[in-house]
Amino acid sequence: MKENKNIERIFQEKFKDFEALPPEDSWDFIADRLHKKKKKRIIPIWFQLSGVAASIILVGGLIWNFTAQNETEQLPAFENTIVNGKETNNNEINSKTKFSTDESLVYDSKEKNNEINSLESDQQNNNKSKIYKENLLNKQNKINSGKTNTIITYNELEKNTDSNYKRKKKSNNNFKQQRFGKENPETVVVSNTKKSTTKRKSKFKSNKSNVGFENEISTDLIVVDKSSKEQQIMKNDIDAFFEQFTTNKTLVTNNDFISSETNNTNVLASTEIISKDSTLIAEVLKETNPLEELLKEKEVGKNEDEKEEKRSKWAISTNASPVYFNSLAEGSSIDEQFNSNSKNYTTTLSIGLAGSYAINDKLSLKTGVNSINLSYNTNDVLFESRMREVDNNIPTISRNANASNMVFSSKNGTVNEISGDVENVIIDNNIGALKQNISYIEVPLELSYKLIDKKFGVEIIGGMSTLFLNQNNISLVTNGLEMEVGRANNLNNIHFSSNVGLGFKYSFWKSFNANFQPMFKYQINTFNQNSSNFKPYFIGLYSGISFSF
Amino acid sequence: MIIEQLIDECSNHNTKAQEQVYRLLAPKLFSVCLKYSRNYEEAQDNLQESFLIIFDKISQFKKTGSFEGWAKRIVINYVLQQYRKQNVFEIISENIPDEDEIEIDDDAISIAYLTKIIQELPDRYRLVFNLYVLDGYSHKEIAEMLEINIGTSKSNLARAKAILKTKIDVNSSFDVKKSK
Repeated sequence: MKENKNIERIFQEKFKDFEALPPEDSWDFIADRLHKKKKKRIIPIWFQLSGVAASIILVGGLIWNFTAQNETEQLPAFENTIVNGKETNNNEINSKTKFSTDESLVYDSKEKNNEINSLESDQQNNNKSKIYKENLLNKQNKINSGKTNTIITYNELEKNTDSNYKRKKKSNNNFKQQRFGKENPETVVVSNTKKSTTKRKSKFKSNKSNVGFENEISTDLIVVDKSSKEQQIMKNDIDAFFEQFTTNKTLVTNNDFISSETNNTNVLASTEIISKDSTLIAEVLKETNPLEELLKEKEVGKNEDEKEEKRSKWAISTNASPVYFNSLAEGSSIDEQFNSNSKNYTTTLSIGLAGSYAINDKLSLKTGVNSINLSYNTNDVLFESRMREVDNNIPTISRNANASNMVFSSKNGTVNEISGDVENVIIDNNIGALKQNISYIEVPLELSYKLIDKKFGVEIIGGMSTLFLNQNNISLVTNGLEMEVGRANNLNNIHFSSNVGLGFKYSFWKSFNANFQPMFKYQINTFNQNSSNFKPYFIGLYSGISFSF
Repeated sequence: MIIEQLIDECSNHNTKAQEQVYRLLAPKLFSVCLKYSRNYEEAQDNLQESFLIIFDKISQFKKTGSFEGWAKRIVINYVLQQYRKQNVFEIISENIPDEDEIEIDDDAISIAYLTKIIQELPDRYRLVFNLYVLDGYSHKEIAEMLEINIGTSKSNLARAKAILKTKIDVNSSFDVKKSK
């Protein structure tokens, strides 16, 4: 029954309850991938553990280093524990290397799998006709075993799409012609008709394009041409056809033809027009082909990029930073009497190496080693040098031999009583500054969260650092001269800082990023006693380059 | 009731439950993939990738709505991601015919053929046609989903319909010829 119908309604009605069973192997593929995903989730835990193990080793190694340096200072009990710690570290190293080899094994096999997969898909493309044959056989078997109609439907569908696909590609690809020989009976039939049409077409001297769609039309026309009775129908066809392709010129000529008598020459001419027109369609279709291919290439490229991105979980970076040292509260780390003295904080340099591991897309764990110098001057310090050794009036300074006969006091404090003793007369011009120099090895352990992760990235960073005291001295600076007077004995060998900051990165070349990270580090537990309200912190503007792999 | 239990089990990565959900949804979702993809193979790929997303996000499904609808949206979103980036070769056509009526023998035209000609449409025509005609999205929604203008969506639809109509015409005339 023929009836007039809206094109949208045709599709809506037909597709209303359309269901199609996917190929049987689809589920296997999905199950396989789901399984792999599960496995994948386990790996990062090991990575994290190995990261923790690595930082423990690092910390342990550093502690050991320092104890070796300051042997005389250390208590024997402390050393013992360190040695123990070292042993456990060794164990950890062993276990860690095991993990890493395991991991690399997993990685290798995975990559191989990927390669195999891609190979397979290549082969699939190449031997499409083969597989297709098998599919066809399978499908036909299924039909025989009496499955529902839907199966037949997509069987047909597959045929259609497949043969069409081949026809489309035939015009521009060589290897597809090789495949042509292997084609199954169905497509052979198609190609036979194609041959006959091309023979016919040479009579009409029409276009040489090989696009399947045109062929369909041509066969149509030739058959129509044969039986002159059906010219009326053909005219209808042409009418309908040209309604769609309203290129002005052809429309006009077409109208002319329709108005004129229908004879053979007419048919000839209109066939030409139609073939021209269908070439138009063909061109449009062709036009999309290179685009599609380009897009495919792009997508393939993208996928590779994504894979690379996924792989680059690790990054190492170098950094250097000016360090602005300061105290939150007015105070002195040396002695209470210097609390109100003015202090000059020196801007120093911190350099270091860092490594980071991306736990997931957003979070990454970062650790490293920085060397850091902190230094500040306490001004307006009155110093006296006596002729003989005197008692230490500032308990936090362990004076060295040079300074054993010196006393320090604040100029702001109460003036020392001047005794009549000649030996104890204050030397003029004896106001200077006490410079405290502390250097640390800093081991940060920070977590960063990416806010923006493009070519330009922003992240927030939070964490803590363990600081190991490296150098510690106090010197007297006066008239441009500097004399070391001793060391502070109220500094803890290990202390911590809590860190917050922002990270900016700009990836300028491949896996190389330029980083800039302003960090605020508040120091906790720096002094063991007598720090008299001195609350040190420092701000570092870390900048450097990182390489991810 | 049962489907909710299945979903819970899927959240716990129970493979059996996942397979049941797959068996339940696959026919419906594969038909969506067939309509939105370029060919059978790509439809299969898209189905598989979509299911991986569905199982990954199944714990986020709020059990208030239709699970099938939720899954279908995931499929459509995934397919759109695959194809929307392609620039269609825009034909600057002065007048696309408004004539939507077509003389057709309803039984003679197979769903397989209709699927085939949909798949043959340029990517964006196909997406717009599917979204508007078969899945009932408005031009405004389509414009947002595909990041195009509303006008582009409308003209893409008209173009798609014109191409489909031509192909159906040709096909049915072929049938007439065969029957005589």
